[in-house]
Amino acid sequence: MIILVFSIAGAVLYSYSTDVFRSSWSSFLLETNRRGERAQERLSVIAIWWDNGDQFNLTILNYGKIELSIDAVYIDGNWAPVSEGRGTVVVRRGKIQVKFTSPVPIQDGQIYEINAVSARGSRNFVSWKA
Amino acid sequence: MSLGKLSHDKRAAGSIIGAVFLVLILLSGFTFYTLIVNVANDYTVRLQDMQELDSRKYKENIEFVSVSFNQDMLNLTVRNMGPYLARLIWLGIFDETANTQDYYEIDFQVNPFETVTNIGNENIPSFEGEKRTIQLVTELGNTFGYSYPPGEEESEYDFVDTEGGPPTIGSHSFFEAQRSGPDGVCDTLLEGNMQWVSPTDYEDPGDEWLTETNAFDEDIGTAATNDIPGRDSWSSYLVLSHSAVNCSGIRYFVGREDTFIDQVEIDAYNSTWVNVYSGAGIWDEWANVSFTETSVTMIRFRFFNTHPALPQRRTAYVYEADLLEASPHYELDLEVQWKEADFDEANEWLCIYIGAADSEDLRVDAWNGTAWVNVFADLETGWNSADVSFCLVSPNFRIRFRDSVKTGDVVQSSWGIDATLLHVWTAGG
Repeated sequence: MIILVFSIAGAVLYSYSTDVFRSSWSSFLLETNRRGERAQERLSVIAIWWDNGDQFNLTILNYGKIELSIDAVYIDGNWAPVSEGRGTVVVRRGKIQVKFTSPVPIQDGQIYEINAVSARGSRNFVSWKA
Repeated sequence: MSLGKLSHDKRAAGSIIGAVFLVLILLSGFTFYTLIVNVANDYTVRLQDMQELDSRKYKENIEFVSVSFNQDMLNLTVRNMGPYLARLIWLGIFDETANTQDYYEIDFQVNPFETVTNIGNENIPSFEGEKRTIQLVTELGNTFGYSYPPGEEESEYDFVDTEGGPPTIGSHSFFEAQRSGPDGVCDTLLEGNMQWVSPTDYEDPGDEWLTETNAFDEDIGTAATNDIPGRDSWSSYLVLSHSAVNCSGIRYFVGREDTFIDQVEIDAYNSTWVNVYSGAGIWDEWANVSFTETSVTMIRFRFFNTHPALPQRRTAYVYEADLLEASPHYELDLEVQWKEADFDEANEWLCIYIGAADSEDLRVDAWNGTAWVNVFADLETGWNSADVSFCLVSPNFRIRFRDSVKTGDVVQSSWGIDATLLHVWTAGG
C-alpha cells in the first residue's frame, strides 16, 4: 500500500513539475524568440516621395538579419492609412514601397517626423522637409 | 517480527521510489535550466551582433569621386572613407522634374580607403547631361547622395565658434583646441563638482526681507535685502530651504550698506535650529562655513545694526547661499555653438575627433530649434560623424556635451576633444 501511495504521489508530482517546466519553457522560448527577432530587425526609410498633396510613397530598406514587414506609418505621431505595402514581407537587403495618405496637412518647407513601424515593433524615425 | 520487517522493507521501497521521482524532477529542472541558459546566451549573441552592425553603420562613409557615362552606361567612381568594408546594394536615380524615384540592384564591395570605378547597372537608361540625384544604398542601411550633372562642389569644414550658454557644468581646459585639428592638442572637458546645492525656497517670518529669491538665483549681482532699524537691533531671519541634504557646510556671499552692520548669525536646521556661525562676517566675497555632517533642510541668516539711533536703518544683502553636499557629485553639461553655420546644404555632418576618451560615456545632443536631440550616445576615440541635417536648420547651431552618469557619480571624468566641426557640402554644386 505504501509503495502504491509513494508511486502515485511521485508520478503526480513528477507530472506536475514537468508540466510547469514545459509551460514555463514554452513561454520563455516564445518571448525570447520574439525579442531576439525584434533585435535583429533593422529598417531604414531611404527615400520619400510626395505628390505635393497628401500622398506619400516611402521606400524602406530592410538591412537587418531577418525578413520584416511594415505594419504602420505615422506622421508627427498621427497614424497614416497605408494603401500599399502593409504586411508585405521584405527579405534581407530588400526594399519595399509603402504608399499612404498623410493624416495631417503638409506645408511646403515645414519639417515633419515620419515613423515607419514593423510588425514586430521596430521603428525608424526620419525628419523630412516638405 | 515478520510484520515489522515487511513494513520496514516497504518503507525502504517507498523511499527509493520517492528518491527516484525526486531525481527525475531535479533532472527535468536541470534540463529546463540548461535550455534557458542556452537560449539566453543565443539571445545575447544576437544582441551583440546587432550592436556591432550599428557601430559599423555609423562609421560608414562613401564619397562620390566622379559620375560619367561610357557608351550611354552610367559609370560611378566612389571612395570608401570609412574604416570597414562597404557593400553597395542599391542605386537610386531620382528625377525631381518627373518626380520619379527608381532603384536598381547592384552588388559592389569597396574596401576601406579604396576607390572603385565602373559602379552602375546596365538597365539604367542614360540621362547624360540631365539633372538627377543619384543615391547609393549600402548593406548597412546608409544612403549617400550626389547631384548630377556635377558642378562646382561646395564643401566646407566649419569649426565650432564659441562656448555656449548656461547651464555650464564642468569646464574646458582650452576651448580653442576644438577649433582646429585634429592635431593632438585637446580641449579637456572636466566634470564639475555639483556638491554646492542652491536652496529652492524661502521663508520670511518677520516679513522684512525683499526680493528673497535673489538669494538663490545663482547670480551674485542680485540680492535679498533688509533695511534694519538702528539702536542695536537684529534683523528678522531670512530662511532658505531645500529638501533634506546630507550637508557638511554652507557658503554665503553677503553684503552691507556700511560698517554699522557688523554681525552675522547663521543657523542650520535639523529638527532644531543649530547655530553654525556667529561673528563679524565676511563681506562682498564668498565665505565658507563648515560643520559636522548632518541632514539639513533649512538655513537662516540675520544681521545686526549697531547704529545708536533708531531711524538710522542700514541695509543688509544676501546675494547667494549654497549648501555643501557631504559627498562629491560630478556632472558635465557644456554647450558649444556655431554662429554662422551653413545650414542649407544637401549634406550636413557633425564631426568630432576624440583624442582621449573616458570609461564614462560622453554623449552629444544638438538643438533642433525646439528641443535637444541626441546625436551621439557615446563618443569614441577618433572621428565620430553623424548626419545633423535634421536639426541644422539655422545659422545658430548649438550642441552640448553631457556625461551619462547623472546620479551618484563620485568619479571625476574627463574627455579630450581634439576637433569639433561641421562638414557641409552639396555634391554637384
